[in-house]
Amino acid sequence: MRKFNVYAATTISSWLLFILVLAAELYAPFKLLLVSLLFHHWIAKGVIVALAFVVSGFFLKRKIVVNIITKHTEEQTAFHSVIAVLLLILLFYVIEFFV
Amino acid sequence: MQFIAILVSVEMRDLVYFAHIILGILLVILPIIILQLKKSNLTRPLSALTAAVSWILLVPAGILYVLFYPATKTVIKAGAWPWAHSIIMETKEHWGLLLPIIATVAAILVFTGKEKESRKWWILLLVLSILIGIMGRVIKMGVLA
Repeated sequence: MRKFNVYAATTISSWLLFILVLAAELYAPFKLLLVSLLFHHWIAKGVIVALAFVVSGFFLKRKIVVNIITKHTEEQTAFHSVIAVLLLILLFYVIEFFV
Repeated sequence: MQFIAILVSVEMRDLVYFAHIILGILLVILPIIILQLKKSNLTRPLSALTAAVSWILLVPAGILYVLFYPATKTVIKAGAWPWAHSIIMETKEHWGLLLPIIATVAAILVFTGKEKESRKWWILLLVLSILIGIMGRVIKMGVLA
């Protein structure tokens, strides 16, 4: 059985979530596409992110996601990616509300 | 007939709401217990349980958000705290999608013998679950504001 690359899966799925949030909010036809795919944009995002987590975990080779510039380990990259995405999502909605 | 349909709908909403709260509380309690355990036989089953709860939680969360929240959203956006939806709820609904991923990562680390590395993921899960709970409360206050 393939080894599950948990850190790469986490890094990719968390950033994918942020991209989906941005794309759906900034480009209405994309949000409609998500709705047409799975009844609701939130469900579609959840399913896509979950699939990305599983697929990238099983199919990406180890250490493919490494932050070369900051010399982070895979684990640090994954952890910092999740924190960054959480903060960026909040920041995006704050900006969207006030601007 | 319509009255019965409304009654069933309300009862279903309450049931789903309680399930949502109980599973959410479990995502606070279970990481605390796991963080307290050191080299215990319970760590692995509790980790698996926490990861499972984090995925199952998406079901009541989805039902509440998709079926029942649109009416609440209308009330919030017409009230004094429109940001309770535009910022808090929008953020909460997307942060919630990362809960199962974080819990699964922590559980996988436990199962692969990396208990020490798993600790910060359990702490992240704990903090995020608490924040999401607080955000839920703010949204409820936004309905009344």
